[in-house]
Amino acid sequence: MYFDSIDFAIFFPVVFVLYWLLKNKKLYYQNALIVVSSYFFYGCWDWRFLILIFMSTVVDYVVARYLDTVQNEKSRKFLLIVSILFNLSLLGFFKYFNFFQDNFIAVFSLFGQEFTPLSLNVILPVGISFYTFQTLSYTIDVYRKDVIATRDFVSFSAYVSFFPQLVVGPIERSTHLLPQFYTKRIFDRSRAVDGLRQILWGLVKKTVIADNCAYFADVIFANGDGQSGSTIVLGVFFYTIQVYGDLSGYSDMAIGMAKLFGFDLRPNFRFPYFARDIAEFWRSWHMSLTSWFRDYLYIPLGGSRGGILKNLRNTFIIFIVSGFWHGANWTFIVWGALNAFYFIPLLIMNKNRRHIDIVASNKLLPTFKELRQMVTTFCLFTFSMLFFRAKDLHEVFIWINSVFSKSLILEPHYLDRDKSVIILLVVCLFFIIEWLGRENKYAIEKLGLKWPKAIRHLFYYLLTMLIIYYSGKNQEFIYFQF
Amino acid sequence: MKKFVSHISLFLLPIMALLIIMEGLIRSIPNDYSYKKDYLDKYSDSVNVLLLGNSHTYYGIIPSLMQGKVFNASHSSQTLYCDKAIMEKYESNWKSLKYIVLSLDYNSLVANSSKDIYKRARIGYNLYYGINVSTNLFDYFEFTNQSPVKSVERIKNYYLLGNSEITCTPYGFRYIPRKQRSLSSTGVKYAAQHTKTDFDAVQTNKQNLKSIIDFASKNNVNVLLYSAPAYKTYVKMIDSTQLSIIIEEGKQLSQEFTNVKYVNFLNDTSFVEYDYFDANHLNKSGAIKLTKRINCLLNSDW
Repeated sequence: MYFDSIDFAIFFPVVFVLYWLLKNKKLYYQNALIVVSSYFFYGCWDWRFLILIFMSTVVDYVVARYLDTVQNEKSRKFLLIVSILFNLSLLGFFKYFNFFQDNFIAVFSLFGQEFTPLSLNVILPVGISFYTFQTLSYTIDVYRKDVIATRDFVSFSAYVSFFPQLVVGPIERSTHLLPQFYTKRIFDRSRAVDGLRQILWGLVKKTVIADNCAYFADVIFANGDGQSGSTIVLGVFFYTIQVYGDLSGYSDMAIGMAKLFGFDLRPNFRFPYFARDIAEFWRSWHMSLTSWFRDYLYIPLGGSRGGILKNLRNTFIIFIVSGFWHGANWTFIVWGALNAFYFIPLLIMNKNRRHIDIVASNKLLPTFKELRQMVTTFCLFTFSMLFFRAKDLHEVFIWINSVFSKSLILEPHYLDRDKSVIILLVVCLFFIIEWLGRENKYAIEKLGLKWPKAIRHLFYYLLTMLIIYYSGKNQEFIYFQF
Repeated sequence: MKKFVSHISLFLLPIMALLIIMEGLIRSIPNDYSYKKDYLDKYSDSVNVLLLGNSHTYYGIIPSLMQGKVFNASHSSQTLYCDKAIMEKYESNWKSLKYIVLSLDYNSLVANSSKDIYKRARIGYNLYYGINVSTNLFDYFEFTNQSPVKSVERIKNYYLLGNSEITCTPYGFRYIPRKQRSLSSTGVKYAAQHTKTDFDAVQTNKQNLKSIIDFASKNNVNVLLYSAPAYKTYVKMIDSTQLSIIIEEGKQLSQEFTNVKYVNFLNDTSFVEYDYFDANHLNKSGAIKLTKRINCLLNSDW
């Protein structure tokens, strides 16, 4: 059940109305409704996935309870390892089994040993990478004594399975989201309206921007091997915009829906394509994941302490692990390593935190220098997306070969090229709105609030009609595969 | 909260109204399904030869080349359930009916009556033919089954540009005007698409077929069952067990009922490469050839 599907358009209002009808009852009922509706939502993909999420919930709930009562440090460490091993085994089996098997066979075949691959037909459960990380963070937080283990199983289940952010995040922290399940929620109209606006913008990002860019990216990369350099460049441009529209659109919808239920989720994107260097980019791109790696991997490894070499090592580790988190393929690992590579000059010159403010704050336009920095950062990231898109390294090297050839100056050639001009114009308009709203949590947070009511409503109608017009493509969210 | 819900409902009201108007406009566009239903509503009592079955009949038998009043009531992915439903829908009207020609193909007995009908066809039967082929509510609305871009295009094409959506001839046959597709790749593709791993639907489909034959027997109507010709790239890829179920059924029915004939064109070498649109469908030249063969069979001794 996708957020932009008709099924969800029926499911969500029903849950929303039921949820607020229970506001005068015990908090328990509202949380129980969240659990039931979230399990229904998740079970719509495949009911067998429910077993996994339930197991993950039970194991981490129990382990955390013991962590809270056991005082012996060795036993606590053992319990933490149990939780980590359990969660990573789930992830390892369902996500990485085929990858490790293929590579194992490939390595041994170099030495003349032939193995027949096991065909287990493992399917990747949607969202497993997200909720596994969320539950892992809970046990680690309990171990670190940042949070007290909950005794409320229903609240904990709701925290793990909360359907707005279950399958593609934002990856929440127990310190932030879990306490919200213990407190009474009061319907706040202005907050709900704000949530609706964010959902609307998320849907625009997904159906108008991402899905249309996806069409042209697919058209171009379907015949990627024989395409000119300029066509590949345009293809990866479309793909880069698609990924942003797709994931940040989903995050906006998730955050907006949570607001409608009276919850506050962490922001996941802060206009990353206006970043002035790669460090700023990664501070504003998929923030819930990057901060997870920062807090649970980078800092325990020593972070930036211990000199430049150690810092470089740790940066490479988190980016390579992050790449591998995205998918069981060497292309993702190289994608991660390449992004870490972009960090080297910044870390050596200690300039990785020079852009922590908002670009061109309180100004309409950026300076030429800022524009150059933004374009450079965008181009670097776009180049890395060739690896993100490719099915294997061989394919990406063919594309790179094509990009760095004379065909780069040829006119791009692909199916429905004329139609793509309209989409490129829409993308430009989209980025103008994003630019104007870059100082807010999402682009249209404050856009039109001072306009006359009729004009404002007209604007919302326009966006709604655009969403409806471009909907129905059934384009899967890219991050569902992760 | 109540105020919030009522405001949202008010905001959505014009959008809902627009969608309902669009749905109404699209439903009013005549299409092949509504055309065939209208035709049978008016003329089923005068039809002598009724052509039923899937795309092999739809694209393969030309009524205007046959003797008598012939109507092609077939459609792409039409299952035996739909064939039976069409027969039953006009049960009391078939006063002039003498022959039923029905395709009995490689996937006819294994096809699931609702799952194996493609989306557009499900809408066609549910909305325009009055035959319920699915229980999914979404299969009863045009706007839930196509993108709004497509809906707007259809409305523009019909209401503004005056282009008809009826693609069949007045007697229900549809030409394939396009260029021949790759016979090797379509052979592999269609064989995989038509091959089933479970034969759960076989008994139900046999019962549907039997119902058609029972009706024909009661009303002195002859039934010609045929397996359509297919190109060798398709035939070599299909499963022999699944194929034998169809052939055995055809043979058995022709032995059991005096008014039933079964003929298998699947390996008929008189249909050559030139006669195919793809490995599983005939083009116009192939359709002429098949129609003549069917016509001869109808006029032979029963």
